[in-house]
Amino acid sequence: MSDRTSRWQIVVGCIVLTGLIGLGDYTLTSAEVTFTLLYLAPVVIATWFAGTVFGAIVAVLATIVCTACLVAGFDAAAIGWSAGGTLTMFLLVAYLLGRVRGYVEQERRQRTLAVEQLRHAERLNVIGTLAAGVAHELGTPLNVISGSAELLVGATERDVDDLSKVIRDQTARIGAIIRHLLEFGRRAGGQQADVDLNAIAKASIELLSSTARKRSCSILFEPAPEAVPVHANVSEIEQVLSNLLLNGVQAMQDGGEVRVRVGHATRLDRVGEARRFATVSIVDRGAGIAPDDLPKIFDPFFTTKGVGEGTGLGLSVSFGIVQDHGGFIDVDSTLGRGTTFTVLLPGTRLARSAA
Amino acid sequence: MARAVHQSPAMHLVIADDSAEMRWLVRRILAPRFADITEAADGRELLWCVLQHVRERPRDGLVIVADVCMPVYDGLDVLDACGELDYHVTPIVITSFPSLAVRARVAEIGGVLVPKPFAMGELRRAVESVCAPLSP
Repeated sequence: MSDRTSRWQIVVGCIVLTGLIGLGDYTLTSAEVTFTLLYLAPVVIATWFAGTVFGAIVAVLATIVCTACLVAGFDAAAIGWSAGGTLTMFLLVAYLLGRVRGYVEQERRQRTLAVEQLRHAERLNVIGTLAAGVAHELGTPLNVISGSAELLVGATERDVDDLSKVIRDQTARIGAIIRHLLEFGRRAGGQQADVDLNAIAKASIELLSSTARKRSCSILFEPAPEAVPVHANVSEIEQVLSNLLLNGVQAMQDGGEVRVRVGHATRLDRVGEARRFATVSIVDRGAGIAPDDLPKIFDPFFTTKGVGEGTGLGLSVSFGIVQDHGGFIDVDSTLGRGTTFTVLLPGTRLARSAA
Repeated sequence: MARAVHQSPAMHLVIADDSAEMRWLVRRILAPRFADITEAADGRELLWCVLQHVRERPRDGLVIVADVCMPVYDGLDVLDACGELDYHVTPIVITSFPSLAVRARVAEIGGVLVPKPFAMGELRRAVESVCAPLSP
């Protein structure tokens, strides 16, 4: 059915309906008109949820019931008008509802499709970045190894020692990259337990305090006044916090103070429901993240650090770990003024009863 | 010594790669061919080396072996800039991710692409191919 035909049907239907209600008002009392309109409610609901056929059955039944009620005290003309008006209105409403429902479903389908395409593009993009990153990270040491092996032919004894050391070092580097990659791909396993987030944060700070000192940074700990229990894998969350802390320290090239704050926050979760989260914020006053870089910071192999300082996997691994815990990482950054990374982990039942 | 036979005093080599091991390897492979070798660890240092060469030894040939992915400026950007400034450099671009875009840009610059990992012979052949027209 073309759009033009259906528009005309709506117009004709409206005129007929207006006429019928007008006539009904003239021949019936207002109470009967209200009665007629009232019983449209189950018809509309039935049509919306169970389709036009079921709606029509409900309409016929309702008309019969209504007619039977009216038969007691009114003449045949009034009953005819009432039944006719109701049926016409039903057909119109059913038709309009059908159109609206079709439109809504089409929109929903298109939206699902668009989201699916976006995710696919994103996956391809991540795979592309991953491939380029792996190629770059592994290409260089592989080249150094193969070159050194070629140089070994006819090398002096001292050269042989040097070259074999180079080969050993480069092999170790490849091993480290592969271990990182595996961490990125597979994080299953490990025991989760109810632990105090304050304690995990404190342990991570202790781990990095000497690195911070070397860069003339200090780490200031602001624990929550009460325990903040979360159900988590301690070593994984420690790894996340150490990563973020190291980033914070490295961002402050002129030294300074990195703050670590433990607390609670209420945020919308993935399905859009407000939920209470346990939080750890790592606040630095470093260089900040360029707005263009911000959407990419959790991508594997994305790094702004110099060679040897980072593999570009730290944040993506951290993001994956936190996601596995049902939480997420929030970033707030101003270029030249600093960055705040907030790790949000779902509070446990224990947390709620303890609070 | 065999090395001296290949030496061409008028040829200068700049090795630009962010990996020290890679610079070391390229230097070891090409040392017999060049008397004068400079290393650059990022794009800015590469640009600085080129500018210095043009200022101090404009008559000597300059061969560049540059990586694409480098901090500050990437290798192709610097080589592009050299072309725009009308400095005649002969680049050999080494990269571990020779995508179509990279290949197209290298061709545009007039350089030779050597994908990583490369064998010693491949790099030597690439150097010979760019040095032949420059040699007196």
